[in-house]
Amino acid sequence: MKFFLFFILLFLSHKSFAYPSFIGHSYTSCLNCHFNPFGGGALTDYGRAVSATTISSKAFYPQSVDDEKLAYMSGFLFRKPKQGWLRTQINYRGFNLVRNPGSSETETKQWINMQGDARLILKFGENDKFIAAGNIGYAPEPANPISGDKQSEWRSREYYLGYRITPRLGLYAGLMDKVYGLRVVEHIAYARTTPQVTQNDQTHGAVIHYLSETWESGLHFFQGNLAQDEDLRMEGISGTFEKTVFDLHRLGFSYLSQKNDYLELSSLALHGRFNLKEGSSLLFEVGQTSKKPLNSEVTKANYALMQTSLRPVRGLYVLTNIEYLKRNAELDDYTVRWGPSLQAFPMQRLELRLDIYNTRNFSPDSSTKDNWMYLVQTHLWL
Amino acid sequence: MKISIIIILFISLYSCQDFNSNTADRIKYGPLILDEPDPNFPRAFNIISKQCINCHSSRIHDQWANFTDNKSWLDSLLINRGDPSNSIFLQRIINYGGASSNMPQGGSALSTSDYQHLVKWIEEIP
Repeated sequence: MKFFLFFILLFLSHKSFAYPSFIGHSYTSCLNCHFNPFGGGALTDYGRAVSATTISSKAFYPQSVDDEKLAYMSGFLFRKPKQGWLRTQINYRGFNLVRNPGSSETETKQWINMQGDARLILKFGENDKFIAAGNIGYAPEPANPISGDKQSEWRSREYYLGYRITPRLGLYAGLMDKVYGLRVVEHIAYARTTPQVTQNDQTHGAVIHYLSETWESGLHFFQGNLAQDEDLRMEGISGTFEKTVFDLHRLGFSYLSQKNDYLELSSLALHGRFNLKEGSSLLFEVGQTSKKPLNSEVTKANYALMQTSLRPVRGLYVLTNIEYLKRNAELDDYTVRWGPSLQAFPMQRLELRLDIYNTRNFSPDSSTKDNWMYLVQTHLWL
Repeated sequence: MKISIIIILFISLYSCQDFNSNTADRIKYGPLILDEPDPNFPRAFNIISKQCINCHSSRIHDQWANFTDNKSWLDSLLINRGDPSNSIFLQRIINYGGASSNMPQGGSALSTSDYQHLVKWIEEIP
């Protein structure tokens, strides 16, 4: 029965990461396009249609194919669903990672199959007020796993039940990403790694979401990933609040507090998302994370992220990322990582992306060479 | 039918990969359990734990928290037994290493005492 269900999932669905930069298209809330009110995960029918008619280019389609047809084709297997209670998606991301390009001694190249998964959404009730969502897929085994800890190559990053009590108020319970900060797609960003909200840091818990006309908020109570050994599970609470300003932009803050048997971590961040019109946007997040390991002193780390996303034409985004990290606020050392990115959606269900990263470390005691890295990503979905 | 799909979905998805930011916490922050008779190793590992493992504990930067004996380090080819000057690990350390030395990134440089102990450790590996 498990195999049969998996067989159905494999052929039945699109998973998308969150794109908070799409505030540039006047979408202040992630709930506009996603079943998960804080973004990421499966797209709603409306979200699929937006992806096809606003985000993706139509340059490679015949002129006879208008946006209405594109919206009609945005469903799974290029057609409008014939029933209202089941939605499915499948998704693949892979990229070529090159470190130290141009160096005859240290250049490395590696193709990574980052993600391949299937998603199932069941929805019932008036205005789909009840949902059950889940995904499962391939996740690379850690390159150097913990000795004696054999990791599966199958991973579920999300499964939960959701209930919109009212259009404004929703409750969700299950395995989800922690509600904290900007859920940018760059999971190596310091804004995600420092507070430990990366692509693998989902947790079992309950989320309360509230959306009003001018603000949005969420509260997350969690027990850690129950698939993990009990002593490692991070239990805690997190929350976020955003207010719409001048009808276009969002300013907000987030807080996170969690601990396991070995580490206490808390984090506070301020963040903003600015609509620069015509699909362009600016994001920022600044935060401080405190870590207290067992039998050790507290270390505070400061981080910052700024990302601009400019859309010269439909289907193309030019990004600039600047990041800052001070691993220990009491020291003078800090790291800056910056670089341009090119993100293209030449047609619906296809994303191509080039990211270039320069990492520079600053220290009063030493001068070090910059690190360069670039990656070329392919993202396909049905 | 819908309820059974939900139940089966949750059951089938429960036991999967659980690797995340905290997988190495027990090794990084828990009681240190080393199975290495070399008397130089505990202090060397302690230096590495404080200065390096915060970054070198991920899929990209290697899981040095796992390297709890001399054999692990030798097998990694990061150090050469009895030959510190040709050990990549030492060559990358700021102020002591070669042209490409830049470690630890974003952290304070190793003290002279700590660096000299790492040299001693590699020189005297049984």
